[in-house]
Amino acid sequence: MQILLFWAIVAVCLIGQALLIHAAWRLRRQTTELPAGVPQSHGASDLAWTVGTAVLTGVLLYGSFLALSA
Amino acid sequence: MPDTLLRRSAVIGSLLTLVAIVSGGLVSATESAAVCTGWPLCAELFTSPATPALWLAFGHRIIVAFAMVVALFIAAMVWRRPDLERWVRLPLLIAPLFGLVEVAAGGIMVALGLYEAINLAHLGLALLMLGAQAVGTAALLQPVPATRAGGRATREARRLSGLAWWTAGATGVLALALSARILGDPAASAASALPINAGGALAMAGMLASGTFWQTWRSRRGDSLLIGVAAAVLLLILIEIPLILLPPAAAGMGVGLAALVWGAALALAVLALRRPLPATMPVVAARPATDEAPPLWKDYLSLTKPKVISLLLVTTAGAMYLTEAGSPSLWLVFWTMIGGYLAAGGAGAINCAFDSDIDINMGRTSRRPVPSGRISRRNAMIFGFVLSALSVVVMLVFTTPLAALVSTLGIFYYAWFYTQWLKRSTWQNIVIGGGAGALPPLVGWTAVTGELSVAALLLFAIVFYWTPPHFWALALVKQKDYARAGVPMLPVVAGEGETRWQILVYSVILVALSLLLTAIGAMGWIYFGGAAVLGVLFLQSAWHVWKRGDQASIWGLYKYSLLYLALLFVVMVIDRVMAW
Repeated sequence: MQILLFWAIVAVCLIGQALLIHAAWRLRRQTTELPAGVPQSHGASDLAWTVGTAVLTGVLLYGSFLALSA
Repeated sequence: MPDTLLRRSAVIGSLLTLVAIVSGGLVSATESAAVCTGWPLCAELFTSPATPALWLAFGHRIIVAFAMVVALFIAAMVWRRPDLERWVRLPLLIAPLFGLVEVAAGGIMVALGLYEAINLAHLGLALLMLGAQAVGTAALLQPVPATRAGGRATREARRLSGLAWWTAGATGVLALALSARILGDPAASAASALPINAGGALAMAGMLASGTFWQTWRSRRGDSLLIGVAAAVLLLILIEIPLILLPPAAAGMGVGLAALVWGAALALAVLALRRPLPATMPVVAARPATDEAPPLWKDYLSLTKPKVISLLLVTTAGAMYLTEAGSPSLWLVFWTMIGGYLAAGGAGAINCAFDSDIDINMGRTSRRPVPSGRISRRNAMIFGFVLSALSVVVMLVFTTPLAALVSTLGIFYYAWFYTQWLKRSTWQNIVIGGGAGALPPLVGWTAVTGELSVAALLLFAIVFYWTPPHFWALALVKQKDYARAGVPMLPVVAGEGETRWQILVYSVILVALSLLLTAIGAMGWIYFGGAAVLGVLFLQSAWHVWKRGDQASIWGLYKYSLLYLALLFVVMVIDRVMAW
């Protein structure tokens, strides 16, 4: 039961992270005019933050898997 | 005249029941109950030498008998008065029923010698009797006001009453938990099966009593009776703190005191709804800008962002009760809370100093002490540094080096990494900056264990993924403010639709991760059930934000997200305590 739950959570996180990375990729190319005084966010950095978060979440899931297996 | 008799009888009846509980606590603490082997009479009174223990046990029975007679007398009077309102009749009619069952439980306890097994039910029934009498007496002494107040005043009164009910509940649990301490073998007591020990119940009662007093002060400061009762409740709970540190035998006093607070808090809950409401509530939001400035100490306190910190401390305290090490000492919890407040408050003050150029352009923050010029940036910065330095000392001295390190990391993360860089440069500010708000559970965890684990990191991840839906909901409502202040929040940079979509995605990941604690065996199925229910409600709110996107649904998500995080940690603690 716990194993099933774990893999279901992994699947949800994978899909969620893929959607977030896709959103960051889309926004990277967006060139909307921002209100005066609002700095333009650096697209590549934003994407890097998103990917970095996804990787760390993956590491946490791997750690969880090890805890589950122990 | 009959009303006067009823009122006096109700007051005397409540006091007698209280005295019966106090004497019962002393009987348990001195292990005098076994001296009288018979029931209801005590034959040893005539056959054995008169010892203090014998007189104590017999005296307790006499007091209980008196209390029962008075309670039955009151019930008979009330029975003959159908004109009395329900809040008076019902409790005063039920009180002797609780008393009769309690007396019967006492008889079984003596006859079968089941002192440890039945003491909890015996005390619980006595508390219910006292509670019913306190509610009925308060309602009898304070009739419902003839005039009706406005909606806001009524809401405030209900809020105060609700807080007082919660305080009463916590003190009732405290009295029950204390009853385990006064037995020779606390572990054998039925009270040891309670989901919380005396220290935890005292901490909870203290927090709730503080909240009740604050709410009374805020909304009813002109009512000296309400203020007096609320202050007395808080003071009596504070007096419990040294009592809990006394040897177990002396804890009998603590049970009696907790019973007194229980009755007083219940009376306060009733009085809050029935005392005349103030004609004009203190208005905060509508106060014109030209009003007199708040006192300096309030300004400095506001620099620490106490409302934000309260939720951080809930996650810190919650994490402390989740480790494998079991229930932490009350002192460790206390010092971790102090250190945590100083660290978060210090970081908040530094943030206020750095962000004054942003704050002045936002309606929500323009009246903060630094942008409004009441405190200089330099002084706010010094204040923040002092608090931060104190936090490091407190954490190092009273907790563990790792907790001190994590706490210090949190200060730098929030005050510099987030405030100075992330917030002003990327729409990912809230996502990555959420790491600062996610550190408090790690502080609590490491303060107890001195090390990190996967479960602790999962707590971090839960708060981390909770942050974007929570703050983006606020940003959706306040996006014009953020645009004016030049902060690249997601709604400003990418629009409302994108923000609502990402809120939904982050919410789904959050709820999934919250269930991971059960999947890896760190939490049980009680937590799973609670987290699933809370999560479904969260997803429902996020779904409404995505589909409808109106102000009501966005505010709904913002407010529920606050409740969600607090309740999630409460459910974790309940699950863990049940497993002990």
